[in-house]
Amino acid sequence: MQEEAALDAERHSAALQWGFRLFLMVQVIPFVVLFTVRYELDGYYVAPTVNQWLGGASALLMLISIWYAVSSLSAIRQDDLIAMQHRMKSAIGVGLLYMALIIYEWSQRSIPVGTRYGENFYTTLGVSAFYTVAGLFVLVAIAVRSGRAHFNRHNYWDAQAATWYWVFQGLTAVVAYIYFYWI
Amino acid sequence: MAQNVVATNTHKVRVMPPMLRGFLWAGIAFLLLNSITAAIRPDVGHPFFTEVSITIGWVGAVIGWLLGVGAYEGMVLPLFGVTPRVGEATDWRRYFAFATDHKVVGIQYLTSSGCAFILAGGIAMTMRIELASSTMYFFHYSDQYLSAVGVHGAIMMFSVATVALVGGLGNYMVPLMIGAKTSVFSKLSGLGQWLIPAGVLTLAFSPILGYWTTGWRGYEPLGSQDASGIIFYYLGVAALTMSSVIVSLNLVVTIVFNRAPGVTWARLPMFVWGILTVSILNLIWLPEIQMTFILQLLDRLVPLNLFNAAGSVLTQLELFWLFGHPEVYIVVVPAFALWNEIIPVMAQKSLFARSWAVIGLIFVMMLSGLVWAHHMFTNMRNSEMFPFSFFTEMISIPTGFAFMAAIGTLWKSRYRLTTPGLLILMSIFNFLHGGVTGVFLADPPVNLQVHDTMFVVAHFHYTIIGGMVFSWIAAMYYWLPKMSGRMYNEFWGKFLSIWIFIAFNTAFSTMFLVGLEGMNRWVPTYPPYLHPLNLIISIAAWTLGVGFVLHAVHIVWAWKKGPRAPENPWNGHTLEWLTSSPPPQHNFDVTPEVIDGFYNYGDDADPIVANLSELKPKQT
Amino acid sequence: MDLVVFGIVWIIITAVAEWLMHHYVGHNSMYFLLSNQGNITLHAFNFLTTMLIPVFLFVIWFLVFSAIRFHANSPEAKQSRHQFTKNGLFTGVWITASIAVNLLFWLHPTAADLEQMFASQLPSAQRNDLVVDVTARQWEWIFSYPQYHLTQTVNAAGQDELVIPAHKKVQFVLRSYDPFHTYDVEAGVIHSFWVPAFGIKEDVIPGETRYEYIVANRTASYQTNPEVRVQCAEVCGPGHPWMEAPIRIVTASQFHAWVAKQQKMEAASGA
Repeated sequence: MQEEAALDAERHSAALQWGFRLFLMVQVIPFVVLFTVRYELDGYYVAPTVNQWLGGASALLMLISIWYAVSSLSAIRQDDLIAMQHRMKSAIGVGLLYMALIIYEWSQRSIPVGTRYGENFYTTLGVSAFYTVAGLFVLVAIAVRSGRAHFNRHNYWDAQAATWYWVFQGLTAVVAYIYFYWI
Repeated sequence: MAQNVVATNTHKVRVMPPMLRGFLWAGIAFLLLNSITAAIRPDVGHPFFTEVSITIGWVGAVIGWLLGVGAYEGMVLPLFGVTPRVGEATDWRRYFAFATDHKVVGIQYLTSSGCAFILAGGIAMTMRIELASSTMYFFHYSDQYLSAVGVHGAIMMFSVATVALVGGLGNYMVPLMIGAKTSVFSKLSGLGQWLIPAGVLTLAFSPILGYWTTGWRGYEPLGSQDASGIIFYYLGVAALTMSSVIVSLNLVVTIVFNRAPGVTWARLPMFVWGILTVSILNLIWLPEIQMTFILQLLDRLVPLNLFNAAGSVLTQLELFWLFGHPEVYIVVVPAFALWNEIIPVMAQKSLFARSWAVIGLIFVMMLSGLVWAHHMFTNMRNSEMFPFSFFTEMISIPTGFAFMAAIGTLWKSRYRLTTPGLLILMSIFNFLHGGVTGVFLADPPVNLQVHDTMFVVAHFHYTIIGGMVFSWIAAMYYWLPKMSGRMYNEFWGKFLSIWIFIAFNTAFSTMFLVGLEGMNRWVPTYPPYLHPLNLIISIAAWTLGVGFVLHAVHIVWAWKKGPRAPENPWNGHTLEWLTSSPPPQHNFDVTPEVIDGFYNYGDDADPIVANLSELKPKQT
Repeated sequence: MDLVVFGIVWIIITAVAEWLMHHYVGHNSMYFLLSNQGNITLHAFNFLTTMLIPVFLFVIWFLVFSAIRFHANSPEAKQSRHQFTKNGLFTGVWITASIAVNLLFWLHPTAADLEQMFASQLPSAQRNDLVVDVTARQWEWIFSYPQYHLTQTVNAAGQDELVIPAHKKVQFVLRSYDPFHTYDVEAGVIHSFWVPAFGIKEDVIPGETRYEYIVANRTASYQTNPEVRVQCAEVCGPGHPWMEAPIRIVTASQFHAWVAKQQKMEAASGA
């Protein structure tokens, strides 16, 4: 009976992981739509006024934040709750910085909304930013929760899911950056 | 492990009824977000309610509604590591609040879908009142009629046709049929259910923002030119499709991981195969249409020029039908599966060519993404007509496998013409009409004549009402003893089935003729020469509507007051019949161990589960 | 025995249905068609009907047959006497036949007819006797005849009217915009140019110009048959139900008289 329960728990956690990966795969589809619409309407045109270095800085920040999140996950895998919380907070901090850069860039209005490039630029990156905000919310929830829920080597699924999500949205943001600033 | 919230029985906590609290929180959130948006808008002198503020307020309202009905205690507090004060109710109240038991969620979904079906059906009745005469006499303005068309179509598509068999019967039956004690993401399905009332109400009340005229497809650039009601169309559909995405995710993972030992892919019940394929379709295509509608919403609110004369009109059409055609198969694939689920049981005969039936489902799923542009033969370059008519004609081959399996099973059987058995035959009969007329529509020259006429309207109502709704009602009767432990009245069940069969076929076969005679869609008035046939359709449609309501009344009556049903009234072999009716909270006391397929009948058929004696429900 | 009875009845009802179809329905299954394209459509429709009748009746008759012959007399669960899960012959014939029928339909009528249709649209075939500019606006069909300098033709009641000569090749140039407004990207929506009696339909999309070609094979008018009308088939807003225009198909001499009259009217109105 005990053995069966353990088997059930193992199967359940495998199901959660598989299901969450499926969810992230499904979330690729909206971005495929956005990228397709941009291609349909605008080809590979990039507005000359776009600030590639500012965008590059944002993308770099996102990669750093991803790295923090992933390393926080490996910390909890080694039962190091303090390091995990610490790195998670760093990931959140860098993520906030990323959002600040995006807001700064948009406030500059270097790309007019009324152009074909502009409308695709703002919709796609806006959707990407929405995913980032959602991800930040989840990361904060995990950071708050990590103390109360006693995450440890055997119990870190929530943190893992949040990290995967953060990696997913970070990668889409970086792909969107390459697609809209360079290609 | 996701821990379920357990009711604290130690002390009584007074709580507001969850749905009431949902409405209250939704109202507060709407006003709050609307006010904030109105306050930070830079231009002075704008009205308090604008399209932007209503959109943002609506998002808040839906979140408030979901939290209010119980997601606050069920999902948000646990996410932050707080144990809520109250848990899920265990009595009748659980049907009116956020729930995690897949059976409760299934019944909630069926109720939501059933109510939406009656509501949108009622709207169709007003359309048929109008069309009983060739001039306007019921609606005052044609945009009211066109709004009715749009609301009817959108509610039927996104909260009935897509939902009833997947969210409703799928949630209830799939875990039982695969011998699982629970679904994997039980909270997500619980959440998804409550998006249905939110979406249906949004759509139903969309005309208060202004009559919109695009119909359920929301074609641009008409959409961006329409009255503001169309934003509630985009938002309502977003809520409803989100519900289906969530449910599909849960069901796919449940089917992959929670099968009982021995329920191999080769033994998976037909209905579960149907739900699996349709869930994959949902997961691929619903996010696609959601993003398209978000783009259309932004196109209108900002405004952008994505899909008007300055952008690309055809891009929106392509994006819509990329989803739109798989949607058709999202609707009927579970119905195909139900035919071959119910026929062997009613015939007490082994399912014929099971593997071909499954292959059919899978190939329909795969091909359905390759045929979308046959909705656009009036819009395409000549060179594009060849491949799309080719794939469209080819998709009838795997569709035919469902017929083949059904026919092979019926041959030389002893088929019990019970109400579900009868309805399944009717469903095959009706869907055949839809399929055969689909062959005409796949031929571009014919299509160029009958496209956008009542011929097409009749064609897709044959597939959706005739195929899916008839199967849905059949499945409701078939599983009624399972879900309620009670039996319906055989006379009334058959009588009402024959009633809707005759009314349905009269109404919609006449509609083919009206279309061939040159009546186009989306019109409240038409040239007088079309009047006699339209009058026939209206009368038959009204009869059909009454028939559906009577079916609903009969099913609800049987559910509450019907005679007690035996444990396994049809002698079905699938696992759901091995537990008590209605099933206990965790479905099976002992996990069944399956050792043979579910569709083998005959005196020399092998036993299906190894531990039958342990499983037998204890009589109380 | 079952097989024989089933097969014989199937053949009989198929034969009867085909006979009825060819003697009564086949001539007017699309009710009223009077163009070259319409004939293609009608033939395709009738060919498909002819081929589908046996398939359709096979399934329908099977359902009826099993309800009569194979129904159980009591609702009790009693195992069927015959138990089988495969029949290679039946499965093989079914699959082969369905593939064959579908391939056939794709080759004929689809590919064959499309070839004819496309041929009429080739550049080399475009020596058209008459060019009609059709402008769709919300909610009106405007017809102009550039060869005759007519900007908007109307009938005596002031309605837009399309008049074409029979037996002449006519090119329709389809655009969707509002000529009475300064250019506004939001002003044009999708319409659909449909003449039920011609068997053609083409969506008219803002920002695109499209073409349709037709030869009407006899004279007719909206008064003689209401299917001789231009009808907007794609929902285009509240005025959609009334977005139609009557057509007259006339002889060449009547057409020239009509053109002269229109020219006089336009000159008089200073257009």
